[in-house]
Amino acid sequence: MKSSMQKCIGLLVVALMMEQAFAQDAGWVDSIDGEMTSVTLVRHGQINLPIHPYATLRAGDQLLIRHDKTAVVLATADGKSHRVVANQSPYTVTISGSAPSIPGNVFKWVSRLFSSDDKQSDTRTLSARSVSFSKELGVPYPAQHSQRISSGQRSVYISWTGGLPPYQVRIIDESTGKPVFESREIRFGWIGTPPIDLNEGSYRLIIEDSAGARNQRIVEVLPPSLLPIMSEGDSLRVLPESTARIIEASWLASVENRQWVLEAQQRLHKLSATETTAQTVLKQIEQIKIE
Amino acid sequence: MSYWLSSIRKRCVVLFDRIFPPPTTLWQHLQQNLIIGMLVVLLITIFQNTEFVHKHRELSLDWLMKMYSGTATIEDRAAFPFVFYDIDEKTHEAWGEPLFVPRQKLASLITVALQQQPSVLVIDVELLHASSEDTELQKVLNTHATLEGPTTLIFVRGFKKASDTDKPYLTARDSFLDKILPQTSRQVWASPLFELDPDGQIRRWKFWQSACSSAGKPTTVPSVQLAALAILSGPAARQALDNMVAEITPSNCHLAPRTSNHPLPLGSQIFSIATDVFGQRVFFSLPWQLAKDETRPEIRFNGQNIRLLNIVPARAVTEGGMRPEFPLGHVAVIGASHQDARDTHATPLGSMPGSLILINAIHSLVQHGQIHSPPLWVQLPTAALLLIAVSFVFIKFPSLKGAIISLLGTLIVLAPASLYLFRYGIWLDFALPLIAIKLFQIAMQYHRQHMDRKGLQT
Repeated sequence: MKSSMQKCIGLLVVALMMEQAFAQDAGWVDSIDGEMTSVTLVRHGQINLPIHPYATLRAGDQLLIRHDKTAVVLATADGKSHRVVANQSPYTVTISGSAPSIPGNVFKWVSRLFSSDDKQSDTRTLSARSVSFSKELGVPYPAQHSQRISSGQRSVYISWTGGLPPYQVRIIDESTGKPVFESREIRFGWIGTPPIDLNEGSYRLIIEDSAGARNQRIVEVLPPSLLPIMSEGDSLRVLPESTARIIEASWLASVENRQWVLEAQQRLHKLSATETTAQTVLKQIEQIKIE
Repeated sequence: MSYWLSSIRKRCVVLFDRIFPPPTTLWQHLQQNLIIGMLVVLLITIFQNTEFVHKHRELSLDWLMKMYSGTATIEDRAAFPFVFYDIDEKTHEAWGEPLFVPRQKLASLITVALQQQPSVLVIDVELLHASSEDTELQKVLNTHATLEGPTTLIFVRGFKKASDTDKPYLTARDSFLDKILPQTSRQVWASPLFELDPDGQIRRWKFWQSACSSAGKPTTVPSVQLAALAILSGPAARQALDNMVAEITPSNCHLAPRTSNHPLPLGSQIFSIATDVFGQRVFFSLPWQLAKDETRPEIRFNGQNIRLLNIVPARAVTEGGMRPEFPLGHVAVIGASHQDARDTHATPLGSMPGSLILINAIHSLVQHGQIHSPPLWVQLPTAALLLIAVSFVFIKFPSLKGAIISLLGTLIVLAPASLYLFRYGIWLDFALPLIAIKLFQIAMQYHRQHMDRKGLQT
């Protein structure tokens, strides 16, 4: 009785497999946690077929898992995965779920209008793609001092760590109170804005996650003439230009109480399109813990 | 000054009273409402490019796409199944988190993808600089270039801002493959660039990217989706695209691109390069993530049922030796979705990897072509009919009730019609009528208050 109920749950809940007429592949074994020898595949009554990671599965296949601590992770070309454990054995690979329909989408949209837990359902779906959602929302810019960046029309690259996606980023002009940039539904811990006019003055950078955590910093936009000058700059001339620019940007990130991290990021981000070292340095700067 | 203002105001009120005397019959009510309504429609038509109206029209299109998200394709239109060989987070980890896609792994992915004989294989991977492990990749690509086969490869061209600021173009970046591979029509380069909206979302595709080569010569690089559609549509379409590209490419890098009034026929779709901003909207219908109870829709292709989109993790191919089968003639894309690739972008259907944006754009062009509004002779009578209906509602239910009933009524009539027509690439814009009705309501409220005041005075 218990076994058949488990089968039913497997059949109903798991939206894993879809039928294909040209080939019966319904998915594959993504990984096996535990003893591989304790897993058996049964197809058309034929038992003891070889099972290994990336073995393709067909609708109707059965998985027998004999060891309590062994689990098989199944995946489909829909981009989904599902973990099957010993107490679900024998587990029948099956087809369930259906493609969304327009009336269904309209119904979901209307339901969300009246739903109070919309945010929660969104984050549940998205958490799988978040690398660091369990960590606290953090930015690589020290809180004690404002950040500095040179003025002009420019794209701004901003990054953060942790928090729960989707994120929202705003850059507000302190003199007018109006946002010069605003973006919602950001899934990853960084964004590059389209070119914006950064006139000299104070701006407020606000990063919020979907759990309501918020990090904000004052950003001072200064004329390029106020950028710190590296005293050893001349000695860098012997190096290839891109290397010199990477060194200069890393130096910029470390001076004046780390107030120029944002400016350094802009330079490294630009260089990272062609220079792998710049990408590594940028990553290092972004991962420095801010006390 | 205030005397003059007050005098002008009084004259306006007199004129208004002459045009709109207090209505006594239903016909007078209707006549006045229609005049106000048509004035509102005229105003909106004049100001349709203002930020407020434009933003609402964009949002109405976004909403339509959300309603089509993940749904089945139109059966009587061409459709191709897509296979996305995805360098996902786990693949990236399994490969030791390299900063760039290892060329040996890429060679292996291309080999497996070619064995399945797709019509088009898009390699959405950076191929600018040579590396120390290119031998295998060169061998695979050279073999493909020299042997006959059903697959055309599309490589993505990189672009950068010109260092010479007096040139109006981006610079097309050279790839190490440019010098190595033989010239063949079965290996083409295309632009992966899309328009970026001020809110950071990608909504629009581009026909091509005008650029200057590093040698200072003007070049026009067709977009990936347009190149793919031309390949899928056959030799005549490829020739038409080549002709169009030759026609619009300027003679030197200091001149603006030429324009063309000629239509661009690609298979069953005919494109106009002089379209408005809405004509180049990508009809996004393939979201990146599905809900638990959802699957990808199936299409009928070469007499077989197959998922419209198949996502195969690259590690399953390179590390696991998996060889999934796909029908001949599908469209394959090799690209990355892992976070370090920094190739994830916001779209009306949420964030998705750049490769999936390319897939959506190709699918959008194959199925719907350019999105277009119904002709003006359909739009204006529709607006007039709606306003007549709304007028009746206002006469019957003055004040708030009328406003709610008319707005809801318009939505109930227009939204399903719009949803139905949208599948054929026809955009019955319901944002404009809704804005019109809202403005009409405001005007009617003012008109009614004015009439009430007049009634009290007399």
